[in-house]
Amino acid sequence: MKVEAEDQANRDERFVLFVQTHTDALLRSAYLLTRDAPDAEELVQDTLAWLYPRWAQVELAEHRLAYVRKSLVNRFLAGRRRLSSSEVRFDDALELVRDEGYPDATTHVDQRLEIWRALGELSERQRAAVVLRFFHDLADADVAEVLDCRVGTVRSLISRSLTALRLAGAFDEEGGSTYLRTVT
Amino acid sequence: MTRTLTEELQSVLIDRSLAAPRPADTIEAVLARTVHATESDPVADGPGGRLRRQRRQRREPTRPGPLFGRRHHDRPDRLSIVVAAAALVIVGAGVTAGVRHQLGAHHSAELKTATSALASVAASAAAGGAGDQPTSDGLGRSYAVGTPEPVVPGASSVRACAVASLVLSIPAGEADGSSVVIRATNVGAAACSLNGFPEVRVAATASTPAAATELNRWLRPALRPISGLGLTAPGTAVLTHGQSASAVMEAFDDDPASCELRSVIQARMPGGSTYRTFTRPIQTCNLQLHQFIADLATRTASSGSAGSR
Repeated sequence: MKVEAEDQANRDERFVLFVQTHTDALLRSAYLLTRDAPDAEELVQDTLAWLYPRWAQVELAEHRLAYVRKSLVNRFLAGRRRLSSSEVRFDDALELVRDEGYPDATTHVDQRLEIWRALGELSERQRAAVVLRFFHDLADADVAEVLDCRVGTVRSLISRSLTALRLAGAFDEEGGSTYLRTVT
Repeated sequence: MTRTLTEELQSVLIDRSLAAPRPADTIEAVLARTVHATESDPVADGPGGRLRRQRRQRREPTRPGPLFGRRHHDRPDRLSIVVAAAALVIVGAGVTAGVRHQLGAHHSAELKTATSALASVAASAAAGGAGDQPTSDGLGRSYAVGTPEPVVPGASSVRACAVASLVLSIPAGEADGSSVVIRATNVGAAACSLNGFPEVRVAATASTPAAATELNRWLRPALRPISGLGLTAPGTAVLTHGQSASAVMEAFDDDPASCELRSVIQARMPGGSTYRTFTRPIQTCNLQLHQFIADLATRTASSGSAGSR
């Protein structure tokens, strides 16, 4: 009993350290998935609270952050509300006002805003694939592990997502921007 | 120079991620819900107190954690907490369903998990039906477990449980079908090791079982091993005669429209030839099956006699 209690105490210490170290990164991932700050906070809280009693299991993973991120993505896919595609967020408007440093700023901001908005119109699964692939730089095979699907499915998800983003962001067939010819 | 779509997409994602919430409040809230929450007095909370507390904390997600940054030696006596928790479990086994009823029909995933964890522990105290299903060690894949499981020294030298040495049972689960505990008891004379998952099917009635392929898609382990990311095999439960391990199967009703209430659960150990049928309610939405873990009594005995890691 004493050994078990000490184990739990030590595990708590390691859990606290993990939370303090990685919550920022998890919040970023969650925010890109949920596109909403309170939802992102709740998703991260729920994920870590759910994993806490299973922390001994998490610690078997060589890459704990990847393990926790997988859990976070699964929880997101299991239950997050989808943002209405027609809803325009207040922070989108703020971004439009803030982002003035580019040449031809209006069209560039328009395009970036359209990309962000189009990301919100993707299905949760498509968005998760895009975030894992392009934000976390995971290989297709690793994305497939997280999403619990085949590599071919991941490629299909990403291909369809990019098609949607291409249409929204006015990119040409090769993926080049029709807005950003002068942007370096 | 022209930016490609993927370059622009990466740029947008990075920029947008900077708008994520600051971590300080979230860190405090997480610790208040986890490490700090376990340090309250479960007896004072009474049966079902943990569930009420978690529900309360969901309403107050940023409640400051008073123990944030506390050192290990400042903590309350954990031994007394463990003993008290055991007492709570025995009492709580009988009232779990009632508590859930009071909390409403649609629980959060967290609440479900908390309840399942309680049910899992309660399974070791509550009586269950008997089965006659065989087993092998049943491993192979996957993963995600209900509660931390000690790795028992010498486990690798214990033979995997024989097919005929395990009896499957499903103690009465949650009344609303949100979760059940599938329990395997070693009825053989020798100790044996158990790892992996039971094979489970869900059906509307005993006479109309659904096709296995249809059911399997519902049984999605919450966390499967990530082969490319170095996840190693989970610990193995070592069961002496009469000891048991439980696998939790739980539904997440975040999307109630996808839920269907089924009344029959069929389970067998991998390698078994026939399913044992249990009449238990279970929701089919986002159903997740967890790995076998040793029951509380088994874990306590293991840590007491052989120590834990």
